[in-house]
Amino acid sequence: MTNRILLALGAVLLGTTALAAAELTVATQNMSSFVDPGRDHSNVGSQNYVNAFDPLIEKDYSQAGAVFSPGLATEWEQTSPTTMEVTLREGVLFHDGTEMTAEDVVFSFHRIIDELTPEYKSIKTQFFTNFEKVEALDTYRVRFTTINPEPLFETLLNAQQGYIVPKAYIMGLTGDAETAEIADFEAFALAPVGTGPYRITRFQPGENLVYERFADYYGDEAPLERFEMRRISEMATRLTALANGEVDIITNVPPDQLATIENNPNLKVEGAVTPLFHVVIYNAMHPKLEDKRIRQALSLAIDRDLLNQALWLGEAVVPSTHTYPQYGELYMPELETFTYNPERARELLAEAGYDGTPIRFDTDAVYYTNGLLAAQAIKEMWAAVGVEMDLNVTNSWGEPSALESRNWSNPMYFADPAGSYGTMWAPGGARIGNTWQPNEAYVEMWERFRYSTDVETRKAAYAEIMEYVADEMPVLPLYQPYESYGLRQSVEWKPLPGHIPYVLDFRAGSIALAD
Amino acid sequence: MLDYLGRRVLGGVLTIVIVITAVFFATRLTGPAVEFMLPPGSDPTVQAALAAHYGLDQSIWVQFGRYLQGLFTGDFGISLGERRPVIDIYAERLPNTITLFVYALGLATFAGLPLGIVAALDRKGPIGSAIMTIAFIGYATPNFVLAIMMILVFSFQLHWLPSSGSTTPLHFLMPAIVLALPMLAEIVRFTRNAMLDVMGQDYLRTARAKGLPEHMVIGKHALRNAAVPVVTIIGLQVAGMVARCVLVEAIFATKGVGDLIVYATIGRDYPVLQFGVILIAVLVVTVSLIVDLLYAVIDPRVKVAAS
Repeated sequence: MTNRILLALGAVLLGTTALAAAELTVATQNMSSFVDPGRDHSNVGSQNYVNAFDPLIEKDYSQAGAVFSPGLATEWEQTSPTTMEVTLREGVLFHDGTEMTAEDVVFSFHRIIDELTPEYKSIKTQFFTNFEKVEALDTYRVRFTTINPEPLFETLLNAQQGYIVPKAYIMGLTGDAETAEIADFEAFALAPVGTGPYRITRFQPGENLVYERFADYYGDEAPLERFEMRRISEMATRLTALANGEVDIITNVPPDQLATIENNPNLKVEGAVTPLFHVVIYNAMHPKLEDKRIRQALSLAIDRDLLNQALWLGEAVVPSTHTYPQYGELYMPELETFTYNPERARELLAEAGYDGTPIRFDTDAVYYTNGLLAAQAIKEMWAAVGVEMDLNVTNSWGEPSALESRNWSNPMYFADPAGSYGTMWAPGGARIGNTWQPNEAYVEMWERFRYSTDVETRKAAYAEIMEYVADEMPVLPLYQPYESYGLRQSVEWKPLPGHIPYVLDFRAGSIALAD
Repeated sequence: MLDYLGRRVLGGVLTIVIVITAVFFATRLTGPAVEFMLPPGSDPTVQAALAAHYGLDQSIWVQFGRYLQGLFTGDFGISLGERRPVIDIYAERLPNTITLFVYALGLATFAGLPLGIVAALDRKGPIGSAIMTIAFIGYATPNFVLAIMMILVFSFQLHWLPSSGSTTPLHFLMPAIVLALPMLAEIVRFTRNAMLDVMGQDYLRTARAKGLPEHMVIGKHALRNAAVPVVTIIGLQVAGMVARCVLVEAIFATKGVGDLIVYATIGRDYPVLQFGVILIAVLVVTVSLIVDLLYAVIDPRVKVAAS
């Protein structure tokens, strides 16, 4: 046994020296089963991409607002409301050693625009519906053409889904090297190659991802020699691994565990409010919830400030409308879309002739931090205005038409209302026609908001959309959660406000290790 | 003897056939897989396109036919979550679970047998009582309580052992102990009781009377006769270990088969789940067969009765 203890001590010491050699281990709650930035918009996937891939247009992530800078593109110019010409950086290498050219850019976007797999179709709907074609003008110049005028060219070319992937490498993975088959994309998702400062050297789906510094990176050298992301699903185990020096950063620390970390002199907590809403959605197409007054009443009954105080120790942000500071000029906190008013809720229920039928509310037991607790609290809030909730704990969405209400998350995929509210609720969005069918005026409002190149017109249109949402009430944003990370004292890192939620940015300037 | 073996093998094969059929239909009852192949709440039309691509929209009998055909040709399918052959995934995971099992089985057997014998020999003495007390505590403590207590003591407080992962032999120490303990306790109890049973028999008195040294009396005449119930309990415990490893692997983040099956169930990854259940069925059936064989080796009467 003494030998074992010595061995264990040795292992701990080795761990410490490893850190000195600029290595790092992150324990995450979840781990993706695939790595392809263009196929993914999941919260767990956001952790994987920023270190290994690059967008055409970069952004200053240290601030919430949008300040763009050259990435894989050195220059870009909007030549008309529907076209943009991009000049590529020369001499950029993919991790497999081949040079990135216009061909790769065309391929990266067209695999999504042409819906080469069902998942790319989903990404197209949420990000690139307006993109008509992408053409190579010469080896280092590309032209993007859209169907309607596009005010969001820069924002979309900065998005994770627009990261550039290698055409020849992907097409050569399986079958015919001259065609892109579904199997090629599936093989790529297990052996991904990008242009970023780290290359992925090992990927065991659902288990771990290992990144190593890419010596030929075009930009600033990666600060870490190597880092690993490992899934440790159990919170207690994750926390112990951190306290024990086995890992250096842990993700998804719930509020009730923060004190344990803060009380340990070797550890610290970093956190931030993320641009993501935990929401409640109602199936406006279900007979029980068809009457919009019922939906309005259910939302008016929820005291979101109380949920914030009780579940997030006041650290979350309760929004007045569907907006984030990340939207820059489109940030509109002055709108008053969602309020708490239980008296009004009771009146509306009486007017609508609510007969006391229980309303089902679905929630996963663990998927969203505090999700189940919030659902239990909402059950009491509904009961206070006379509505009985049938709380249904399940990890399936079940038969779509049988859905009544449930919790969900609505992240910001790119920094514009179209990239958060719009991904779910734009005409053609994920829930339209499934839980809510807006009228034709809404489609017109949306087009005016989405494709106008004038900021004031867009703001006015979004205000109209929010007014319609307040009346129709298909969704209620509860709060922006406060996401916490546990770190060893020696690690200087924190989530940056310019990123989408859950990004682990270990690029130059974003992380430092003390001795 | 061959007849005895033949009947046992036939029974085993029949069990596996039933499991293969049941697991297919049982997994389909857990909910649609496509819902879990995309982020929650994705557009149903995209879900439908994905279902069509993976043939999940075909009738259940067509899918069942394809599944059986796959099994016969050794094609166990592609994981719906990872999009790579199920075999590749298990090839990555199985070594960790096997290592864990070998450690746990070795620990339980090599510590359990001698402790059981000592407990029987010193039935009324302090050592025997101490062994039995510890065995009962081991048997009565739920393994997740023990696992978390060990993590808190040896990792969180003392920093002696790594709490999670499966990279070095040290990583397997705590999970193996937790996995082994209920089995160890069972082996101690059964060895002790079987030994006590045998030690009162006439033939032991005869053995002593003809002047055999005590270690021969205990080691050969007593232990061999006490072995039948002990082998049975080891066989049963291997099946129990499969169930326990699911929990133990989850707590210690051991990337083994138990952990894989849990995630395949949550994510409705039918092919991975199916293969896992079939694998466990084959393991349990094989262990039962080995135990049956061992009966015949240990106890000649089984051989006689069978023929």
